[in-house]
Amino acid sequence: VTANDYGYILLSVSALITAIGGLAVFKARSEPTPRKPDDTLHRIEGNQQRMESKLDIILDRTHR
Amino acid sequence: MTHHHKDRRLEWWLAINTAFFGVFIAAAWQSMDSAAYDVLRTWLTETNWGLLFVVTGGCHAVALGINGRAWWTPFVRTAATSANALIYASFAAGFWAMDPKSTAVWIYSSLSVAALICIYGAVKDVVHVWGAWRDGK
Repeated sequence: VTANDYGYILLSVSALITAIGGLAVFKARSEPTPRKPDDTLHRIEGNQQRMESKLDIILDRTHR
Repeated sequence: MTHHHKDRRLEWWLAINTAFFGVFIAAAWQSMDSAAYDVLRTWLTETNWGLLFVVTGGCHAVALGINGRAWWTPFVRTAATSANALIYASFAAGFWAMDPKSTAVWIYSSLSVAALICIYGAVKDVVHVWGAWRDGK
């Protein structure tokens, strides 16, 4: 095998990579983009817990 | 991280196998003395081939480990798998020229095909990252 033959082999594999990449792009475009997990509920629960603890402190002071 | 492993077992195997193959080549013994590597040895020394495999496999494994937490990981995975496909095909070609019936032709070709399979998944993830970036703009 000469260096030129290696050139042809590398070109052929590159063509295969391009074809597979093109197929993957075509396939991925037809799929929905994965979204980040929605953490809204988690944030609301955190805020609720913080507000409840503050309310407890206020009520505790009021009773005293 | 672990729940992604099931989808990418072949890619994980390819990355780790490539890194350790590099360690094997770069080790003190001579493993690329065969005439099949005559041309390849003019491109890089045996140690440098080993280092190339270690770097390629190592970066690929790191990118797989970080996964979706960094936007650049699918690009590194695509680059690493493309390099693997090209290099393993070159190794197979050397043995093909020496003896087409050599078992090394089959083994290196299989590694190249494994890399081509992994490219498909990596490029799909590049498109998804690109889409998420475009939507979030």
